Amino acid sequence: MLGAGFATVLRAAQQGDEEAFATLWRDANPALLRYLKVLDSQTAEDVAAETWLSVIGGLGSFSGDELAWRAWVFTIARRRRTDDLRRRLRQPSGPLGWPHGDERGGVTPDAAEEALGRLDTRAAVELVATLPPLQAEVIMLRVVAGLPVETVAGIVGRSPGAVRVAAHRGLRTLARVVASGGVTL
Amino acid sequence: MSLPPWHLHSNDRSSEERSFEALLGRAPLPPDALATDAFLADIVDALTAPAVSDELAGLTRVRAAYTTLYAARQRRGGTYRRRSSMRSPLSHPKIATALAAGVFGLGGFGAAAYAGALPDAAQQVVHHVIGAPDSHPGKGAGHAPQPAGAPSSTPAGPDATGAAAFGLCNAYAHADDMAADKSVAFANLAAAAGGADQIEAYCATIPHPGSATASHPAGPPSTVPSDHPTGKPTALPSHPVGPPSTVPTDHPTGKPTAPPSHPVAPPSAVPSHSHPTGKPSTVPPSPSGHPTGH
Repeated sequence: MLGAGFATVLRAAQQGDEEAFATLWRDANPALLRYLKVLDSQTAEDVAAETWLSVIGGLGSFSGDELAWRAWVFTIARRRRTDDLRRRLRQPSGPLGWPHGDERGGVTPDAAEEALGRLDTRAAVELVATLPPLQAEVIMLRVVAGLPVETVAGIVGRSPGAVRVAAHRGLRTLARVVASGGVTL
Repeated sequence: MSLPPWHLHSNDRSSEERSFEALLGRAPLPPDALATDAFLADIVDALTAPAVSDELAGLTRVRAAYTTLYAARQRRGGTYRRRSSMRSPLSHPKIATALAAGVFGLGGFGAAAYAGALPDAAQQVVHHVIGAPDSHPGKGAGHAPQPAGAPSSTPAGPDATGAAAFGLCNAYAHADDMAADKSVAFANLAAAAGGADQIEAYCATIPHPGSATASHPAGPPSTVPSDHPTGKPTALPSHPVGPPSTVPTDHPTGKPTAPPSHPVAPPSAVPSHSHPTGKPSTVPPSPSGHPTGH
């Protein structure tokens, strides 16, 4: 997050300053990738690239503070991810690329245990990806995108209450994994 | 089985809520947090750790996209001006025919395009094809170039069933609805297509004329995904280095934009004295057809 400098950087990027745009990108892209990896690790890079092309396309018309900016970028990412999924579902013999999580809801013990062994970023992202899709997504939008409950609710199309419940359920599941895993730190 | 010290919040929902909201908001844990909460905090720290190098690897490519699509437009300065009193230069018989003839070489024409010396509408079209500087930046990024809409003063206009069809289709795709409705050239296109609502389908059958350049494969037309902001399928080959095929549908100003991703063959000879650019300096007639300024 850029904080107080955001408005200046945004304005410069909107006026054609490539360095300013690079600053915006460096600030947001890692979080974007981590969020997308939770949705679908195989397509995260491609969807991120599509997201940034859309961002460039709409950059001149964007106005808002840093929170609105992040909400905008992550909303675009979610839509590009949906587009990508639709595209691949239309291909008769293409891989569906299901995200590697238990779709029926529940942590896959092996992945969770392995991830807990080392707490680096990739492992943490993979751990969250084992949660049911809504819980995983909401946790990433709150924690990694840094968005408040109401904004997350708008992005995922649920009520704030549902978002709160999903996030807490996800954390509870992760806590249970921690408690039953017997990990020594 | 290892139970302690890993307690859960099982009986105390409010303490759990405090801990969880702190975790989700990246705030410090409350004093009554459990060991499991501290471990979840480690997970949060890992999720929000600084970038690693492969998360920043795409910078070169995105810079190139930004520069090509955005900065060139902005650097020209000013706002896009609609010259509604002028008819669309792209419907001028000479331009449309030349467009349809499919001559696309980066010789003199290309040099003129890069120098920004073409008439505005042609400059805009070429901007999106070969990344040449735009004549006027759009109102916002992603704003597609739109030739000035106005009724054409030539009674006949280009023949939409013949060689001019591709040029007309391309101009139609770039024009806004007002220009499309009123221009005689587009009326010919609608007639050839069997109705104004058939134009997209008709244009989808028109092949890209001429040979492909190094950067433009002359492939079959493709349609834009269904959340196209203008609701219009473009039905033209997409530019391989081009901008996104869609822009976010929650575009901040609520304005739909069209994807500027259409390869087009610029005219081999730019029309001269009768060309209405609306600019104080006129395009001088010259054998090579290169205007020296606009």
